[in-house]
Amino acid sequence: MLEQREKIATNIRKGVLEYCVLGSLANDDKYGLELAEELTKRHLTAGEGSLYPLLARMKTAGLVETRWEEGGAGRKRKYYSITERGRLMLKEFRSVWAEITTQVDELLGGQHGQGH
Amino acid sequence: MARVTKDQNVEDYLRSLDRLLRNVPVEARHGLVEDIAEHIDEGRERGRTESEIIAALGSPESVAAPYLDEVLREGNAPRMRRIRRMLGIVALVTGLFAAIVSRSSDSTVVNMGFGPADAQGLSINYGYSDVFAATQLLVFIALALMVATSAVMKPVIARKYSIAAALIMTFVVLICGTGLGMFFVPSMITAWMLAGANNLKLSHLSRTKRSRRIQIIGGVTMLLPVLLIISGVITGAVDGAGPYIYLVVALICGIGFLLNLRVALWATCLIGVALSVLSIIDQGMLMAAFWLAGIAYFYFGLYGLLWFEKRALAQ
Repeated sequence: MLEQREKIATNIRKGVLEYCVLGSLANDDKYGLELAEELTKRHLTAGEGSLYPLLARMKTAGLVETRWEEGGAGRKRKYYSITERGRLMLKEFRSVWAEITTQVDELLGGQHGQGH
Repeated sequence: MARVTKDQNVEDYLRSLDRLLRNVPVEARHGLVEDIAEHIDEGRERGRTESEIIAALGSPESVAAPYLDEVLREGNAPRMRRIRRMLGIVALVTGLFAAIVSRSSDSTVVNMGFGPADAQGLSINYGYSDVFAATQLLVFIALALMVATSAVMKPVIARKYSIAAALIMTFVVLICGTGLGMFFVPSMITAWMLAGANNLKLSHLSRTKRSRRIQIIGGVTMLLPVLLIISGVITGAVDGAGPYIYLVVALICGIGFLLNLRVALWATCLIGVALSVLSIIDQGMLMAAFWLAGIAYFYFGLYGLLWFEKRALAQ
């Protein structure tokens, strides 16, 4: 059963991870590890490594941009920030997500309610 | 000792990631490996152990997966499939055509005892026997088939195969020398174009850059002889309508090519075909001139039609 659970979660995460990244960056610019830790803490990504191909794709799509800043131990850190286009995308996602969760909750809630 | 093994883990991880990405465009490959290396460094500074970091990253396969999927998807994209199929057809048709032209140029006619006598005298005579001539035809067709095959292969295998085919064709051209070798040139160029089309490592950006280079080289190649014609006409070294026709053709094709006009690309390609066909008519040394000029026009035009970005008109 645990395996099923993981499978369901993985499938859903796949579709929303990109928007979770946008949501996280909308609050604050972050570097890779920070972003990875936040998403892992919230159980939104299974592997931290898969975040980087996603970030690269989002950069190509113009949803995020990067800049180099002084980090710890004199090394440069790659910071990610959200672009205007990214904010627009996030706004779209919010309304879609609200719609979907409302409908899904209603449907599932209804079936659950039948039992009572 | 423990530290060495742990470092080894990180090394191994990065190395296997890099290896997995070997068919991915270079910039993307380096970018991802650097990102992961930085992630590991940052993690160490946070006091995480290396095995913790690596466990949290997930397997190299899972990290590389999105890129590998993309490469296969792009290699199988409708546009790429169309280009490869087109090049496959070009390989077959040019191979067959080259075989016919090369046979028309030599002594089979003499040996078989028929055909116009003056044409026999004019032909480039290699003194081949009939059996050799027939074998040569088969060799042409076999090589054309060899080149065309990669058009229908799966992307990763097609890449290796098409490079091998292109190298073989180059070798064939070199050992056949300037006489017979020039008839294998179309197959050789097609083979290298297929090798290019099968190269998954070329990003969209590098393809665009490459197209720009070819555009300039092609335009200049077609426009340079215009200077010779103009100076010839001015000094009176050439006369008649011929130079003027050539002048107009070269200007339209050359300038149109530099401007990436679709019509000019088609014109360049078709004029190339026409010149190659004309080379059958003249059996003397001019044959080589028509043949090679035809090949140049045809392949510049073909390259433009296949690879140049269509100009956005209404956007």
